[in-house]
Amino acid sequence: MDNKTLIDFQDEFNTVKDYLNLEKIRFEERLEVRFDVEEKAYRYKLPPMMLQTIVENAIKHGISNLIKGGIVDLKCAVGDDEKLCIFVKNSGQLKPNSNKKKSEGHGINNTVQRLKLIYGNNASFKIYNSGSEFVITEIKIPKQTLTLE
Amino acid sequence: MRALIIDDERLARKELINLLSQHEDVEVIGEAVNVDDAKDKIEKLNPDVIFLDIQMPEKTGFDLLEELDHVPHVIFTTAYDEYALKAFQVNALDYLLKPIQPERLADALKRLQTKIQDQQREESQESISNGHKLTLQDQVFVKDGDRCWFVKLVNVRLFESDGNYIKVYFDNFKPMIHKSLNALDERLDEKSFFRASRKHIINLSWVESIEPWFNGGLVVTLKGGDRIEVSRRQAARFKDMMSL
Repeated sequence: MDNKTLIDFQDEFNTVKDYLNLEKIRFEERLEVRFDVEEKAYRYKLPPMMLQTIVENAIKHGISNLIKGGIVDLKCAVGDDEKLCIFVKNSGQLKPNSNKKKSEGHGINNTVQRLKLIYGNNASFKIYNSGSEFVITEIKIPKQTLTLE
Repeated sequence: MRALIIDDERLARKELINLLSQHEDVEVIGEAVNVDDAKDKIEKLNPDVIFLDIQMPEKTGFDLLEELDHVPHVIFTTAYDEYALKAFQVNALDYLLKPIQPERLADALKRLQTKIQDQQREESQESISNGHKLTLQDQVFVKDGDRCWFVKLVNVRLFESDGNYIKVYFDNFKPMIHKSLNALDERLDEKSFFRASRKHIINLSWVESIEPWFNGGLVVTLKGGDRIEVSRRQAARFKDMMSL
């Protein structure tokens, strides 16, 4: 993969779909995948592997830790502020101390720092429990009009 | 060797079962999909060896080992090499990285075979060096599922091997114990108990009648009516030992 700062939404989305199809073979009925992507989302660009990292986290810390498995629900919509909102909702719960283990936490830290480097304060990242059964990761990205050097 | 496969992913279990089907000396007696399931099945099936995945939902393979009272031989199967050190600490017999290479699996099974043989040898030596053999007056503890007995050997009329188990016949009971008939034979006083065949050890004080049988064998009828065939070889031994 070359070192582009941003790639088309479509390209990243294809990677994610391929990845989830593989995990589907692995987890079988323990994984349910849902997509809800607005047409307008395809006009945006993303930092490569950013959505992929989040979905991988949803599988690794969510689905694979659940005996019965669960869902990964990917929603992409464009808000009134013209920002692309990406929601990844997965079964599971964030645990307060979970990033004490050394295998955890890099993905999230990296994502936050990359957003900051690329978009300054115009992008945001949140991760939170939604009820007692789901975790939502939420990213907002401004529309990329300038090409970065 | 009786094996239980523990992995949360069906395809991973299937793959391992496929690989094991090449080995005639291994019998897969069950599959478990998580730690609680595995704990149940280990207690129920008493496998000689478990193939144990580490990363499983809610509890890991290491958690399972901590919960068990009696741990069978353990061969870890995992996609990660980062647990190897810990596996070493819990005395794992081997550590197979997925995807499992057939040659590596064969090595692991060879190692298992050696280990089991060594153990059996040790056990039988222990019982011999313990000096006295079990006589009719000795009492033995027998546990089968939830039931326990403390039975006098004089009341045990017959031991019958059944796979890796032995059925112990007394009164109206025949509980199973996990032991080989050979190992048991070495522990029993030969004046009171006789190895009638590959499958049976009889209590001589229960013998009611003896008839000649085909090919130089014998048939022994025990009080209570059990009829046990004595193989030709053992019949010859029997005559040697018991004749005036």
